[in-house]
Amino acid sequence: VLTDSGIMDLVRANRRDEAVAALLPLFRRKVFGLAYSYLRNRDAAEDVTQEIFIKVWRALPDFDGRAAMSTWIYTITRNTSLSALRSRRQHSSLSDPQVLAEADLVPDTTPAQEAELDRPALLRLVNQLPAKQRQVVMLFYMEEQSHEAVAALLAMPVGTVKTLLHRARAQLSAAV
Amino acid sequence: MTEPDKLDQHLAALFARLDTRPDFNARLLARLHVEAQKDALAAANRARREEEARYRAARRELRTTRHWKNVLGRLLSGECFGVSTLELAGGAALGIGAVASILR
Repeated sequence: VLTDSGIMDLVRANRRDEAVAALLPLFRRKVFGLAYSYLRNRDAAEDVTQEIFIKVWRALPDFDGRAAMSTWIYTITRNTSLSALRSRRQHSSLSDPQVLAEADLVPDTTPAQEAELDRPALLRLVNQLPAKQRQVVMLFYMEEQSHEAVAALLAMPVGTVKTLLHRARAQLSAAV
Repeated sequence: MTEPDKLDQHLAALFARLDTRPDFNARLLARLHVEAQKDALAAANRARREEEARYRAARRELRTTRHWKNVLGRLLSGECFGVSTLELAGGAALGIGAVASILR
C-alpha cells in the first residue's frame, strides 16, 4: 500500500495512471459509497465515481499535501456528487421506481429465517430519513460500522455522526 | 437477538456489500488512457497554433521590412536615377530657355 508521498513520487515521475491505479483499492468503494449516499442511484453514483477519479488524475500534480490525500479525495467526491445531484435535479420520491429497484441490486446475504423485514421496505424507510441521517446510516453500514470512517467521509465530528446515527436508528426502530 | 441487533443486521445486509461493478477499474483506466491521448492532442494543437501565430508574425515583419527595402531600392535604382537626371535636365533646359528669351 502506497503512502501519500509514494503516490506523489509516481506523479512526479509522470506515472499518473499508476498513481490512480494505486489509489483505487484504497478509495474506490469509499468514494462510490459517498457518491451513492448523495445520489441514491447506483448507475449515477458509478458514473460520478468515474468522474471523480478522472478529476483526481487531472488534479494530482497540483496536490500540495497540506491535507491528507484521503481528505482531498473526499472533498472532491462531496463537491462532484453535489453538482451531479443538482444537475440531475433528481429528488427521488418514494414512488420512484429507480429507488425501489436499488434494493434488488445489493445481493441479499441475510439468512432466510432472519429476513422477515423486506429490503425494499427498509430502503424506503432509510430514504425517508432526513438527508444527513440517511447518509450517516448508509455509510456507517458500508464502512464496517466505523463512526470515525463516516466522520472522515462527511467531514463532520465523530460526535455528530453518533448523534445522527442514534436518531436515525431510533426512527427506523420505531418504523419497523 | 434484540430488535436493534436485528435492525443492524438488516441495514448491514442492505449496504455492506454495496460496491461498483467488477469492471469498474478497467473502464476507468481505459478512460484515463483516452483522456491522456486527448490531452496530448490538445497540447499538440495548442503548440501548432502558437507556432502558426509566430510564423504569421514573422512573415508580417519580414514583409514590412522587405517593402521598405524595395521602396528604397527603387529610389536608388539606375532607372530612378535616369528619370531624375532627365527631369533635372528638362528643368534646366526650360530655365535656360526662359533666361535666353529675357536677354533677347
